[in-house]
Amino acid sequence: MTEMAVKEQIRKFVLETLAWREGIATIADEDSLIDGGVITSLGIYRLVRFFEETFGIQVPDEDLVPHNFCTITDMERYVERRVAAAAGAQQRIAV
Amino acid sequence: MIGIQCPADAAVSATPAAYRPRHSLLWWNSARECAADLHAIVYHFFLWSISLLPLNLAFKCVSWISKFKQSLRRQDASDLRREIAGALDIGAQEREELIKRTRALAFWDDVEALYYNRLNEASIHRLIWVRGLENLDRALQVGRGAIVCCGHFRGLFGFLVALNLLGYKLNAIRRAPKNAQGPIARWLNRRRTLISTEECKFLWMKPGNLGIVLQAERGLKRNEIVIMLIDARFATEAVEARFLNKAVPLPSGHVVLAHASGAPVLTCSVHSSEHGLPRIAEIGEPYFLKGDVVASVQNSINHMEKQIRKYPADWVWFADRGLWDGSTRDRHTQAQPSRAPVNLTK
Repeated sequence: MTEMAVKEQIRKFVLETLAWREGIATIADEDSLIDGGVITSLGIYRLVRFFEETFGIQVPDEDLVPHNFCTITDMERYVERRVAAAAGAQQRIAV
Repeated sequence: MIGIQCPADAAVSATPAAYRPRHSLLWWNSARECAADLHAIVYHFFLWSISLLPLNLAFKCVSWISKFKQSLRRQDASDLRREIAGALDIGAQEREELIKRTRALAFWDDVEALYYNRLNEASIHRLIWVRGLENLDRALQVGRGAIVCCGHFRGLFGFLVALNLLGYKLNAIRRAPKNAQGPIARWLNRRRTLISTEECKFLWMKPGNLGIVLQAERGLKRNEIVIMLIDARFATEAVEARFLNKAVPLPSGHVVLAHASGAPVLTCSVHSSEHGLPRIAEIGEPYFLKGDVVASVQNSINHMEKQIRKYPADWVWFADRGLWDGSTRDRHTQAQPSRAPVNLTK
């Protein structure tokens, strides 16, 4: 899974599922989606379900904070962190 | 009057003119906070004194005080009067009676909150009867939790307390209350309305709390009940529905959650009995939401509207929540014109 793949998958999901309500057609990496009204509590709900289904990660309650979901870059970093943590945990179990 | 300029005044005079209003504003705000605190202390002491009476006597006492208060001075109810006139086909006399009753019930809500901690499973029926518990049990037997859709009815907190005392685990989604002005007023308000426990969790809708819907879904997965208020106005992802003779934007969160979780939905309303107490909560039959979001929102809201028309004094009108948009005429329901796509980066 390349960096581009994660970022573009998130961007595509945000544009197709969340941003259209606000009439937004393009989103840059650093655009604040929370301040822009794109991501609400219902939006986070949809995003977390998308993360769980697409990247196979679990999002605990304590991770539901704005700095993990504010921009496309924040979300990409968060997904990569969780994927790496899950892989590390699997390796430890295998050892 | 002789004006003496003290050193502090001189310092204020020496500051730029643009600063002065802010300084006076600070004093004004402090004075308002003190006044709010003083008012809160007196009002809470008054509520607490009434709550020392037995429940039925306290209710009668509140009705008398409310009638007396309204005979002394007419509270500003112009918005409420206009909202009711636009929504219900009733005469002026009936409307005034309705306003009096809704004001008395609002006052009782404040007193009632002080009884919650003193009631238990055996005595809660003195405050509220819950009808339709078999419907709730049937919904929970499915194992996917239950979404209870309710409106802002008077006595809603009593309903939550009753369900909690009867052993149901609740997650109630609520909008965070507006902060009272003074620190003591804030503390007293929190203390009076805080009924949140391990079994009755409040999920507060506020800007920093992003995970509220997810927490609700996790509650459903634990086969718990999620209480959602469907008559909040100006919600995110609101859809336009016909409600009390008007097209109103109403929240669709319960539909999204029901679609995603597969949990059954039940509608619920609370109203006063003939003599005021006990209040009666009615839980409808469980059903599963399928298909169109707008149609599902309309379906839920139709049930609530039926109850409001039957017991109009028991609903907290938009005007009393500061949410009335001022229009009594119906806006023709039509699809909103799609906005031209914009680039967020610009």
